[in-house]
Amino acid sequence: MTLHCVVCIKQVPDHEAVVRVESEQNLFIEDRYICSFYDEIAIEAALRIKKDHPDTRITAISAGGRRAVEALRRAVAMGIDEVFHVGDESIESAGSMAIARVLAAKIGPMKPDLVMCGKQAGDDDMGAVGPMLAELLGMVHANAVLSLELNPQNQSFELDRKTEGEIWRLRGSLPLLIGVEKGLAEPHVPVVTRVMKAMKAKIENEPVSKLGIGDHDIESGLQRVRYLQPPVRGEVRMLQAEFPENVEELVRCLQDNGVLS
Amino acid sequence: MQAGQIWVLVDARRDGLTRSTEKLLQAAGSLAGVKDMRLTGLLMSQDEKLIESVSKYVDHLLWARHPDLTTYEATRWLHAIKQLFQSRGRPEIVLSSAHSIGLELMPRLAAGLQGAYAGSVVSMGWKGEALLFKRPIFGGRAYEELEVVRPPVVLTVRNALVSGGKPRSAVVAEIDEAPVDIPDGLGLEIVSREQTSRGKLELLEAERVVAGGRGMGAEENFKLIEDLAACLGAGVGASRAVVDAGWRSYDEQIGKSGKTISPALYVACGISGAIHHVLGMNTSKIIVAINKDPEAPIFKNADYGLVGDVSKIVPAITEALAKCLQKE
Amino acid sequence: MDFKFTEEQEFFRATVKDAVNRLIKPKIQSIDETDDFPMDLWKEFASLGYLGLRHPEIYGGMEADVMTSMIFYEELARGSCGFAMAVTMQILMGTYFIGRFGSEEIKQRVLVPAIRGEKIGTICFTEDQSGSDLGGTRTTAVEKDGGYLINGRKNWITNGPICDFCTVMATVDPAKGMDGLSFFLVEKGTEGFSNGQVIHKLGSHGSVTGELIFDNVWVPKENLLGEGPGNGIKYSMDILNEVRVMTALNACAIADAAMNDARDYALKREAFGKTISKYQLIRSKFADHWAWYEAARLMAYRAAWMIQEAIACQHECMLAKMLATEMCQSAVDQACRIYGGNSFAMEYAPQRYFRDARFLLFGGGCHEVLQNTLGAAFLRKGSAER
Repeated sequence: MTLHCVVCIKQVPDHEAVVRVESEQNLFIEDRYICSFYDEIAIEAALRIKKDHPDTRITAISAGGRRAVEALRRAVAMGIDEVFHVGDESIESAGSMAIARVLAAKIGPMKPDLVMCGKQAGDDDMGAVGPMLAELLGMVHANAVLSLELNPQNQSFELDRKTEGEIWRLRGSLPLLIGVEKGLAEPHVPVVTRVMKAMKAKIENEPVSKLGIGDHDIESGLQRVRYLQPPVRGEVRMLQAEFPENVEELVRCLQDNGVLS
Repeated sequence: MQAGQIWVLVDARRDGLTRSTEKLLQAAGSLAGVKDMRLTGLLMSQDEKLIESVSKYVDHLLWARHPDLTTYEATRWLHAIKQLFQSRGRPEIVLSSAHSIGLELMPRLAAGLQGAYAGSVVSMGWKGEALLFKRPIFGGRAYEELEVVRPPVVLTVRNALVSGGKPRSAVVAEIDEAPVDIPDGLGLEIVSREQTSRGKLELLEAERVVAGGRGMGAEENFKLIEDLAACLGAGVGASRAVVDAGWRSYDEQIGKSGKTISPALYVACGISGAIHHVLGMNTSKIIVAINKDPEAPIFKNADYGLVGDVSKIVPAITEALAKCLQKE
Repeated sequence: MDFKFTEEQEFFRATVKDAVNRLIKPKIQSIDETDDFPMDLWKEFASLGYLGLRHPEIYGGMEADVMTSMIFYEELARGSCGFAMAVTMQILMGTYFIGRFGSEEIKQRVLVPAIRGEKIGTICFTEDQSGSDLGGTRTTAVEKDGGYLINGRKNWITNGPICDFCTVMATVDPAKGMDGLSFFLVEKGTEGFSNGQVIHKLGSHGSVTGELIFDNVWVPKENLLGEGPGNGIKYSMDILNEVRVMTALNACAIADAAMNDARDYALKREAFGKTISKYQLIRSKFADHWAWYEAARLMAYRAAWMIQEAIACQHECMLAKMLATEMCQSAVDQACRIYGGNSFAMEYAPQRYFRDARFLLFGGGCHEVLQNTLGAAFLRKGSAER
């Protein structure tokens, strides 16, 4: 049974790139982009699956403008030969639902066995496209997946997913969509032969109109009002109470900040 | 005439409500209060002991009834919730905590509702008739404020802060038991659930880190750091000074010449806060500093500071945390 | 005039940067402190295929063009200067003449394993008494028994102490000066070929540098690389252009790394109630550096472009190297001044950049020799727009 695995990827600003709120309507983003962290893990995981099941067909897909092409080049460099570029720059600001619809229009007809998405993307940090895509494609899905075992013969799988303080093992039948978590795979450093291949790759574009997506499909129910500065670390709050009250106060503060779980 | 509805997915993984769920229900209540909307607590757990604790926060407790709903599974819960939309009306706003369940289920729910979704919301409010909310983007390097131009909207909430809220008038909640149909074999089978082992956490990936410096006094005292880290499920870090002194290994070193980390919580014990150390951790979300010297530079880079003897304070924190984490 | 890199070149750069960040950066401090050749890192890099950058695909190489190679040299130097020196020696100087002139048998025996990282190579120009002055070469290669007998000592050979083969520049007739020079392949295990002293260097730790001794080393005729004997200088000119631009970009990368590190420091360090980044004298250091850095980098890439377009550019390459290496000295000096007293501590980065930068003034031609040559050339012909 040959598996078909589709990986959805996105190009996002590097986590060290300068992102600065210039005004309520303007965001300055330094031109340092990379394939989103979790998406690279998904690419590597797909390549591992192919290693275990050499017949596997792997496809990478990205929606957007030229940035999407950069992400797809990275996919080629890492080892994926079949890549699809859909849409244009306008889709990048259309919101998760729009992106999910466009991807579903392209992926649906392929009837893949497995779709892999990053848990969340390094720009909007929304983490929505994966689950939305699962709904549109009518597939079971699991998020924050740490490990995945596939049985192509009987079309089944077992996976581990991370929750707060626990790891759950789930079992089911393909097709499946997963949101990958850190630890599912460790992206390898691309070999220079693949890098050169990626440099020269001709990646064709498919506009959304060709996928049957109309303007109304990509209207978002949300609108950005403004950008805001992130909260600056304020003055230190010295917990002056006598010991052990200061310790109790600290624990309460940490709870309130939600950093204990 | 029924005003719009706000539904809150109640996190029912433990006995009683989690603090984050309580805060979310309160926030939802104050949002509903402004527009006279009906607040529904959506309870998926089959444990009737939860009814009392939930009903004091809501107008309407919608209790989905089916034995297969006891343990969360995305497909089954979604199937049930969609039936409830049919029978009880579609809410304008659906809220959930931004925990692993919410992050997995809520976007899918939004797609099913043909509504909008946003995750990790840190505050909410009203702007005229539209719901307004804030959330971090680019890993927290900026924040955006979004408004709902076309409901319904589904939100996962990280910090349940409401601005301009109005306390809802307390009513006796209507308890609404709603049996749902779940076909056999729908969704995934839960094979097992295991506590995450408390092995040595990789520093660069740890959500919480406890680090020690020269102020710990002696190599043996790092046991206190390790105990606190174990209690917190945290990684263990060290300053350059103690690595050079041979107390700890280089892979634990935090600083410009060691590792640069950005956990949600960083606890610096007996660390003076020299610049090269600070550069390795100052993007942490919350920094706690404990040092016997009130003038130590570390306090300039911390959110919370305690002045005192680390060998007394650190074990006390461990003890207090153990008690509080047991309750959660 | 198109001053942009192509999308493909930007992609290549990003990929190399990522490899350097992931593989080399975590080891920089330990490489510098132990001064050991990082064999594990060498093998990792080799397995990625980078060592074949300039060579034909049939030998396992990548056939990358000049511009792509320059991007590689620049990004590599942002990591560990010493490791970069070892790698560039292998990719460029050490295997160049073998790739260009070696017989098929030699290529299979030497080049193919070199590209796989299994054999380490180097090139030998410098001797105790002659560096920039190639005409002062005293290593001789005398025809004998159908081959050549090589005698002499080479010094300052990067990879020398660990090399499996080397390309030696020797003279067939000292009386002929520059016209007697030729290149010969000598392999480890050949009788009379041995290692001499290892030089403990101020910087560029991680690369091993030392003497190579040729004591009646006999090599067969096919080990004479190229037509000759006597074409050594001509061939040297071919490679020196690329070596100089590479050195210029190494200098740019080190300068850039040093000043970005200093920037982090300046934004955090406080004095008299505010961060030092707010003071004009500190700001002026960054402003001046930025201008000279951009200028040097543009010159380097312009020279690289000229090499790629096969436009005669000996002077442009020398100018690029001269400017960039001098700019780098200033950058690492200023980075240390920005750190103040802390730059004197081995635990911070500026001291490493400071030490590493020093050699850039000498590799590929001593600074003062270039100045003399270029000055004379300018006086001879004037500038282009005269």
